[in-house]
Amino acid sequence: MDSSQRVADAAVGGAQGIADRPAAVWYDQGIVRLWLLCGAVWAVVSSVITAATLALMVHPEWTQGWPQWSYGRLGGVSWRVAAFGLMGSLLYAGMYLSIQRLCGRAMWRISLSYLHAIVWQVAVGVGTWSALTGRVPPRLSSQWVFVADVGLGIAGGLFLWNLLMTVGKRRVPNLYISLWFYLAGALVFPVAHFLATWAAFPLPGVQVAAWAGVTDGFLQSWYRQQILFFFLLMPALGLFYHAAPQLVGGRVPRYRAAVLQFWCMVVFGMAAGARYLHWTVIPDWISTLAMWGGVFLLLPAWAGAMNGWGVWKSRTGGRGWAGGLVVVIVVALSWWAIESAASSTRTLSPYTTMNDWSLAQDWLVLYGIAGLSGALGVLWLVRRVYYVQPPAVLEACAVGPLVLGTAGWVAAGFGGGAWHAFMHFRLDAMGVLVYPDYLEIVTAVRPWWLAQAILAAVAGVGWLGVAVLIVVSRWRARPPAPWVHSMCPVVALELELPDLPASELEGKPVLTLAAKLDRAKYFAFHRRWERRAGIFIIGVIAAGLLLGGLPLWSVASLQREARKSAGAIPYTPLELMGRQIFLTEGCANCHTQMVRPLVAEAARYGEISRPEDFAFDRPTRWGSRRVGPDLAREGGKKNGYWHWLHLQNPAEVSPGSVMPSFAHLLDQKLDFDAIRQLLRTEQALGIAYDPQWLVDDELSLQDRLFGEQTVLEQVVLRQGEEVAADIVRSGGPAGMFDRQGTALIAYLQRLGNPPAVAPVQPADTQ
Amino acid sequence: MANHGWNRFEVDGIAVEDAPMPGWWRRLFVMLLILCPFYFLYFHAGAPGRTEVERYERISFELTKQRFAEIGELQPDAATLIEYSAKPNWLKVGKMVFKTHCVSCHGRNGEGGVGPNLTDDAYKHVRSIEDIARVIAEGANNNAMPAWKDKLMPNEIVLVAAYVASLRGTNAAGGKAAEGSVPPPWSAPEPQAPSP
Repeated sequence: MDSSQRVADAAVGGAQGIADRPAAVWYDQGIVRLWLLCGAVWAVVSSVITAATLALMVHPEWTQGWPQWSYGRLGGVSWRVAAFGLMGSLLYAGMYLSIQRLCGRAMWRISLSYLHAIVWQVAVGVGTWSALTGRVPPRLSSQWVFVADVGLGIAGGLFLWNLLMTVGKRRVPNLYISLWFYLAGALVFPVAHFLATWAAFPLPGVQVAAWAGVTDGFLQSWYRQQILFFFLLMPALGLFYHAAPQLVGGRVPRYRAAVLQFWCMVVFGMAAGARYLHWTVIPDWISTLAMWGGVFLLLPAWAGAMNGWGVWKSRTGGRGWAGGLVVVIVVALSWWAIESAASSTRTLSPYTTMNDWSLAQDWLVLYGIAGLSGALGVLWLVRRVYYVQPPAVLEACAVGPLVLGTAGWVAAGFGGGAWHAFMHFRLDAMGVLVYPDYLEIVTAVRPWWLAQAILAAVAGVGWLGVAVLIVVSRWRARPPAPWVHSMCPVVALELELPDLPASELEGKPVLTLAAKLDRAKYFAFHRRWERRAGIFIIGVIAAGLLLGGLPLWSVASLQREARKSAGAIPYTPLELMGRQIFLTEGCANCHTQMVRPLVAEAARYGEISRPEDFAFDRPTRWGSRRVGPDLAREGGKKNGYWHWLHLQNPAEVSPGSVMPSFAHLLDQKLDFDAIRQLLRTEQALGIAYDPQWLVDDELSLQDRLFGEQTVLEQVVLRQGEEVAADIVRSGGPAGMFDRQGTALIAYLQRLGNPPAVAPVQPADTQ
Repeated sequence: MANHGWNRFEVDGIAVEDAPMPGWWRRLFVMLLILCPFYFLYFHAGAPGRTEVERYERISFELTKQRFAEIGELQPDAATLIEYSAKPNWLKVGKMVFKTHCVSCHGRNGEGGVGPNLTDDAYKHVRSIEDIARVIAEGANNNAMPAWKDKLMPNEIVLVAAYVASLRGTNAAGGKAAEGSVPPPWSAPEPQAPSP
């Protein structure tokens, strides 16, 4: 059989078995190019949105009159566009080439690859669009409108399926290091995504999370950790293990470090799910588990950094910008190791959560490690799929600002967080707050926000450079025919594994088991494991069930208890609407709702939070950053007119405030259909609202003319009148009983200050 | 390490080598593995007073005790308020409470905003110095001025009232126009003769 015949056989694919060695195989490079071009588009979109969002922190008045683009709404969008749009596209592009090369065959089904790409891009596009147009009740910085979330989950599932089949039918017997990371990432992402975004919407158009209270708070943190880990970090590290040594011509010096890195990341990453939740209302043992998971992350991160450093050290000749990028990624990984371990401890976590530090943590993984690995992937891919050697000046224009901007921006994030934490928690010897006035803290941290915005814009220039690099390479591509499927020499096949190494204990007077264990230290067993993808799949699932599932079960029972507690009081219809506005406007991007059991927090905000405070929060919004003060105990601290003025023009009542104006809420009337939908959803989820409130509006025009009101309107407006009366009493305008802002004020006045008598009962406690 | 470099192989042109893990890495791993169960046992073996909330309650109780050990429990009467409005070290504590909770309505220096100016001579709902503490605790005008008795400790209410009393007549810049009536200068009632 001549070689072209074998190539043709290989292209047909199928069950050829690993003994059959084609001289070359066909790879589908079209899918790689598609993801790359999408990445170029998202690089532009993401840079613009991110820079604009950060600029709004310093100049909130720029969106005066365009409430849909206020910081609250854009804040969530920029994270998602960067994570799912930009990094998603670049990492998938890299993975599609890497998987094919490492499995020695094209993807199992080319159609599945394209379906994955299309569903993914449409979902990210729809999510971004609906977020920008204000149709999202955002649940967490990384979650979108329900359709888009389902789309992402399905696309992730398609990729997983394709990956598993490709791996199952591979021509290379051993799974290379990168493939372990891809497998873990692809397995966890759809599961975590569906688990955390699962929403019950018994009626069209209403999106309410099926999880509530403490369970939802826990899941959101767990999801944040798992997205950072399994969606971003794992694929990025896998790509690094393939692209970095190929680009800089180095070797991977430590096989065992890679093995330990992988398994430690799976186990400790899963355990660390709640590491942002120390001192909150989750059970203590989960907090401890997460702390140790986080502390142990030092080990895999440093193991990976050692390998990365070794790749660079063993480079052949100077390797220019790609080599520089490798070094920066190693530095980022090493710093991330120290930062994760330190911020996971109970003692330090108050200082590293609920301020800019927690954003910087995300930025470090998202833009730092995953982003720079994605950029490294681009440098690798343009050589592999466009067959060009990009001009050094083009690479310099991309990598230079990208590295400088990202490093500075992340550093400014950590700096702003540290500054905030210092002022927020500082007590004098008497236990008295040294900086009691919150606006003083805002004013002090503001220069850091300016620095973040400027440096993010510099990084954005780098991303534009990456986009240009992709497009120019596409333009100058010199592809060998055929264009879509390119032929590559098959990778080296290692058919025979060496025998297990002999133990020094062999033949000595010890147990056979001891000799076996002694041999295990050489990790040769793992070379055999690599021939069975099942071991990796089962390992990841077991870690997930044990270290993610067990805490989830424990938290869910705490939430059930909390719901039955006497202090757990459901919201009235007006408050429910106010809560919805709070979610939709993205208030929680800047205001937390969690007073932790720390002296400074109690002195600043009031009594510490309890699980029952959140029993009916669906979704929970504990928040992750305090640009403004915590609101968990806000109710009853200020009068209605203050809130009214503050929504209209925050800087007028709070000089130095960076909150945007929400004047549109004071003009817009309440939407009773929306309230009825919310009530119906809550009803379906177990809260016994009066059935009369849920009846559709059947009033005729004539009834309306005579001033008739539905039962729901009467109930809502009765409370609205109380809020309006308070506004008038304290010096404000009259007639504010039916505004969106009225609902928001009713909700804010009830936070931490629930009525003594419950307006409705949860059905399961009756 | 006789078999150092056992797992060497090449994939897609990448030479993977097998240097052993450095000693510091292995020692760190073992050290953490040993420490971890002791930590679990210390905090979660059921010994009382070691949960996050219990620790907070203990610290918070001790701090409060320490902070107010010198003054005991203050009564919101005129004599106490006048006494404490002249003690700079305790006014500092009152000022902290004021800066934390009151500035959003009454202004950073008490010049007024949504709430009335506290630095002029005119007051709403206040005829004598102890009314200040009463208004802070109970609220006024149907909670246009919110009630703070559930949110602040009794001593804090007295100290912040003393601080507010001390602001009278400071006429902060940019102050809101006077509202209400002018009460007589702060004074404690004459001590009454013991009844026969």
